[in-house]
Amino acid sequence: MKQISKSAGMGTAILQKELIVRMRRFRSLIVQLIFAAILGGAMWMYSLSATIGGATSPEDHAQTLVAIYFAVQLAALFLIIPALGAVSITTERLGRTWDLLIGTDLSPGEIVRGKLLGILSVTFYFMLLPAPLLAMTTLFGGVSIGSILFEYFIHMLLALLLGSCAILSSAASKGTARAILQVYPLAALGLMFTMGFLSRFVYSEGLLILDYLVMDPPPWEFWLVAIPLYLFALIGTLVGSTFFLSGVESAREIPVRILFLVTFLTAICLYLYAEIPNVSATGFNSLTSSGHGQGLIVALAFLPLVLLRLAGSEPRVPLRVAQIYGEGKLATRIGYFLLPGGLRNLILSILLYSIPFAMVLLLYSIELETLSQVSENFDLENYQSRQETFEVSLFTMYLWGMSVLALGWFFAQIGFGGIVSSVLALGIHVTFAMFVTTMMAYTSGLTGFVFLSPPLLVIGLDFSPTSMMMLTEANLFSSISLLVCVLVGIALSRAKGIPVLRVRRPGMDDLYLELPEKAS
Amino acid sequence: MSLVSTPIIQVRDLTMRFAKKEAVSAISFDVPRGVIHGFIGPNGAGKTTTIRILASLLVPTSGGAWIDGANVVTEPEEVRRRLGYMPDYVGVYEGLSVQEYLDFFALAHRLAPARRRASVADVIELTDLGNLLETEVHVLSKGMRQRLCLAQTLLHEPDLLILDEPASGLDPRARIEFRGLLTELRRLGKTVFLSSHILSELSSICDSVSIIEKGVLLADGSIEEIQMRLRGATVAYEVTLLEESTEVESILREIPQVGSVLLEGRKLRFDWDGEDALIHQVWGALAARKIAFTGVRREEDDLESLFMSLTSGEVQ
Repeated sequence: MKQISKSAGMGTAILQKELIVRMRRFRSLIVQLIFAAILGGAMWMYSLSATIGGATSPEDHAQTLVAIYFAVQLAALFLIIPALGAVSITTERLGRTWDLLIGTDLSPGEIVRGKLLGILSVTFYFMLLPAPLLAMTTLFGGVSIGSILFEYFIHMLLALLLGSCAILSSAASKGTARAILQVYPLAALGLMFTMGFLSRFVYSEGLLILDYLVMDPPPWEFWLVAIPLYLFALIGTLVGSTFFLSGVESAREIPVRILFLVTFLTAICLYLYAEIPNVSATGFNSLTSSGHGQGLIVALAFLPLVLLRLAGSEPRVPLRVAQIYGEGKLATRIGYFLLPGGLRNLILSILLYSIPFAMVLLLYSIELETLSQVSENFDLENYQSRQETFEVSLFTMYLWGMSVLALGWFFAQIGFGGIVSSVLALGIHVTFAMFVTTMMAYTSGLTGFVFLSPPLLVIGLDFSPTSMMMLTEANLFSSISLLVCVLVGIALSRAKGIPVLRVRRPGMDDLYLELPEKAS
Repeated sequence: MSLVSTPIIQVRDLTMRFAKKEAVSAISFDVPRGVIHGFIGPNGAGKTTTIRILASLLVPTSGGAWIDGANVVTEPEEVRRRLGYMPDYVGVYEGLSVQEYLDFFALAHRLAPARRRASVADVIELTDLGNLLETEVHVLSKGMRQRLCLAQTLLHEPDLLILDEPASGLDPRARIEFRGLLTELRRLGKTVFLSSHILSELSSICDSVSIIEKGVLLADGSIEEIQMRLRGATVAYEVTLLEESTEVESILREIPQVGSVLLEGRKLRFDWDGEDALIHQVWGALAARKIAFTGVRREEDDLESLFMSLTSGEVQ
């Protein structure tokens, strides 16, 4: 009986290897020196400026020094972690060690966790090196140990998210350059946003995050949104990385789809929770008002962008999924629409697309119930006309979104990859929009081609007979497009032998799952 | 059927298509336990594709393969546990020493601490890497890297080793040493499945071979079996006579199992269609007529000539 250890389970093997490899490199020494030089330089510059600017109290010095330290550390995190993470998987691939690694008992998930822990260990090591000196600043007053610890905690959370984003980029790329190019724009945006906020409201005031939160506590709803959002981003990037590292015949898409569904439902629950108490026909959150209602419709117009990747994913059912389904477990029957492949890709994306629309309809029905409570001065006629605009716009956008998703799904049936299918479908609709915009500029108003781009029509809807006619044309176009894509897509799938509704991998019967007698 | 008698590798109608190209076309073969099996073919023949399927790194288009009874498609984790795979290029981690490299892979194979130490010590001894333990792996020579990778594949004590072109790029000494290592592994009861296009390397150590070209399996079995299949039961003999003789031709023709006979001076060449045990009839007939000879050579087809006669040299 072989002795088996569970110690590799949390990615310990990878972590050990990563730590040895990273800390032994000459590059590691250089990074440490640069990190120390930047921090030391910032402190020195402050001490110079403080001397020149005249003496302040020791408390002020301590506060400002600590704030400067953490601001610089935050910027350093945005610079260092993407670099460490983006190369983590690609170097294994390019160095040809990947085949050896997956030949071991480590799962892709363990490899991702090990890589992340490796990056975090190095980062935390850098972060915690000056901790004793920082703790000493508390002797001068003005800064508490609790504030410093909380600041570290927030920076560590940020490092965790940045690291998992960088690993996702690495897992999704074949080359290191591409992985770095993907992750740095994201890091730059994050840096601009975070530093913009913290520099303006926190660090420039000589405060730390905890001090700021104590001084100006956000409503508890903020945490209700922020914590799930952070968790979804973290779990999503980690699940995504595992997705890219698993074999194509694995059941890797199922957790991704579950995560999609959970994210949608949670986001919508949070939105409903925040909105329901404020919904009323007279309120400023009225769905028929141009501000809120139109804003919501524009937001729904962007939803297909997110869901196209799902609609346009690989039409073949992976072998592992077909096997799991073949086992006949109840969970797979209940979660049928979450299984990848065939028409389910389109159905799931439309289902997810429908959830926010259902949410809007729910809010709308609540709003309509408040009509009985409005005062006599309420302009009911005006409301009812806006009500009609809202209903028509909502329906048009829903139909259009489905047709976009169907187009993405159709391209996947032709044989394009997931990203290419999404880009093609999106490209066609962006081209339509550009064409219609150009035509509208020439005709100084609505054009006969506006049916090609219903979102543009909805924005400029004025309920004139021409406009309504065009709306009918647009809805007809979306419906025909939806139907054609689905029917031709199904025909193409059938021609290629890809099951549309059955959870069977094409060619599954050609694979021998049981050992036949040797052919003569 | 008992597990011991079951072949350790079973391949049935294995096919792999990449877009428009069929890299492997419905190949079937078995590899028995405890042998060194050569997988031979020119570049682009489909060797690496087949090996990657066997190592569960690729899913075939159709057919199937089993490693020690585990299906490479449906039980990849089990397959990886049962074999040690060495790719054609050995990647190493810069900054790790030989000891650390092996410790890392032992941990990655989830070996318990006691067994981990023992396994690492065993493979170091077997591959003779003991004096390089503190050396960083990226400075090792190609030969030593191959040894290190072989050591890595042995850590979890698999019964089967799949080695993709292990001898390519090695100098003559390293090749001889590596060959010795493989022979030692066979002695320890391991099955070694190795691909190569260096036939001289394989002929001396392989118990059996599979020859593949353009994705099609041309021959499979022991070298003798393939020889038999190629030329039937006929064996050619070359005899060096002490003196030239004109009657030797007619003497041989009297023996029914003797096929064509060619006499050039003192060199006599004839084909023998009979059993090996009956060849003494020829020597007896010559002795009876007092025809002396100074040498006899049975013409064996070596692996190279078999390979040349089977393959066309075309590449996919």
